Amino acid sequence: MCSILEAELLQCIYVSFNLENDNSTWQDLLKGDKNALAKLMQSFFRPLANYGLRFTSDKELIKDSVQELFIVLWERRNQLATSVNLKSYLFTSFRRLLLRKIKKLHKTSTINLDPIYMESFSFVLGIDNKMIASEQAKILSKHFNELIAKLPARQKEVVYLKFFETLSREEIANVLEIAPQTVSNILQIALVKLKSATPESVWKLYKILLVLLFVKNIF
Amino acid sequence: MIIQDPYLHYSLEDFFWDERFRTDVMNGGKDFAYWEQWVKQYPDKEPIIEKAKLLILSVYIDNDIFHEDEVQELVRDTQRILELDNIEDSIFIESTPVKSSFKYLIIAASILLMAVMGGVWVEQKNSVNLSFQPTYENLIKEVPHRLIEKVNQTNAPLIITLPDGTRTTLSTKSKISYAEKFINLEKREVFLVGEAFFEVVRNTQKPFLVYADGLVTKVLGTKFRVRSYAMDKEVVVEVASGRVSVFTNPKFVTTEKKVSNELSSIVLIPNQKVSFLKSDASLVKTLVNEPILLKPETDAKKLFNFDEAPINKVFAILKDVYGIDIVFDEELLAGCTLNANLEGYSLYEQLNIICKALNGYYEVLDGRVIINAKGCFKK
Repeated sequence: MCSILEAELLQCIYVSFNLENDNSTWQDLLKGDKNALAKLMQSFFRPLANYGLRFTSDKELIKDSVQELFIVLWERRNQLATSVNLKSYLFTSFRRLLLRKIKKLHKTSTINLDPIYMESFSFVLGIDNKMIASEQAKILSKHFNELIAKLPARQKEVVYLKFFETLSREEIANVLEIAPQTVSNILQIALVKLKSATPESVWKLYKILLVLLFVKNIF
Repeated sequence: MIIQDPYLHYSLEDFFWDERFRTDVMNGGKDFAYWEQWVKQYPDKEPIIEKAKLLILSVYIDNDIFHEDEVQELVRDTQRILELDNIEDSIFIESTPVKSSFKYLIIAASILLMAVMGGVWVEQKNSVNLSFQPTYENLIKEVPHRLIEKVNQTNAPLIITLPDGTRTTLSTKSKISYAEKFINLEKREVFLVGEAFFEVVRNTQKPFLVYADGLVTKVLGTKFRVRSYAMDKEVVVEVASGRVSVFTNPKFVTTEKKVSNELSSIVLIPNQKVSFLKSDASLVKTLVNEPILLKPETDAKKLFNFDEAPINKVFAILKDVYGIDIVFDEELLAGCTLNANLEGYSLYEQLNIICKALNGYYEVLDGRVIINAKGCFKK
């Protein structure tokens, strides 16, 4: 839904334009258009791959999984729903597929499995050298990393999907296969935990950040 | 009608979530210049822009891991699979002579003749099954379907495109066999005697296997070389990109070992190689003789010029650009720094220079570099 406020309107048009584009590509795919599949793969590779990197640093495994996901979609195109929330659908399927593969690796490798196959979720914030960031930003991200590190995997994953993939509460619930209310609860708990772990002196800075991270469209 | 700049109404939150603003902040430089101009026009907006920028920068994840070429390659490979699945009876075989630009392949091949560098590590010992000789002829005899055979009797490498689109550069005096079509098969199997470089089209659902003497090399989609001339004592596999696993042909080892065979496969990453000794089926993992920079766009001049650089940083950079593991005692070497320009040297020369500075030495063990140094004098 686009609201009447001008500022939001532009943003809204931009977002829905992209969504519509992907959705019409999805319709083409269902009709058997191979180029549509390539187009979707191109526009979703990075979001999916970056999400996958939170579970494993094995680039090859991630590439395999993305390919398998799209080939399976192609093979089952006659049975797929025409109206889907594409992003959360792809994230859900990709997550399932990748975790199954990682689990299988854990099962088949009896000894010394590379530590790159975590069975949990992690991400580290960092200032890219290419970017000109202030000392303040560096300090802030260092603190934030320490805080995030204290959260359990599930809470981390919700924060990631919310912030870096800007998924809605319902979409996150879909991807993680839990109830939307649970997503809110998880974020609530994470917020409380982060607050109690933050020294009063830096809390002021974080407050803005945390509010941005957690509150928007979530509760 | 004049439309007012919508950004004038933006709150901190709006800026923070605004896609355009975010990208401009991330990209910086020219892209962000727009906002610097904008702030000049609306000076009262400066605090809000600065704060939003600070927040965006402080929660950023470095996701720059997949190169654009890799993404395009994956999409291309996937399209190829779909196309081949459709055209059931198309045969994609073409043989073209190779231009002289492939000379380097011959040079690389001759380098392979040189002795294995660094330490030797016996990974795996198998008992050889004497009743089955895994020669090329014996191997193809066992295949139930029809095979196409290509022989390179010329003095130049020969490029062969396999039915799945995989590009194979067959060295001189070498021979490969493969199925006419891979469509109805579960695996893409290639039999080799001699030497070949494979650029495999990724197909996650159809593994690509190269049988050379008693060694099997299994990949999904990568670039690698297999060398197995009949007169050689060993089979050598070298990886240029991606991930490769090798294991002894189950037919070639005794039953007791068979059960665990696939499990005990050795995984190779870029710049690693494995030598398979034909006489006792042992596998030795080392590094290739000339490790290459894995990121082609690397600015070596900048990267390798070290000025008072902490030693762990130096190793981190080498690890990153060559994609190999370097093991060292972080605690012992904590105070060490390096002052050297390593540009233009090979990895082994670079390691020699570093080790000289550390008054130590290095060895290659199990495809990794091990640094032996007792530390350095602190200033």
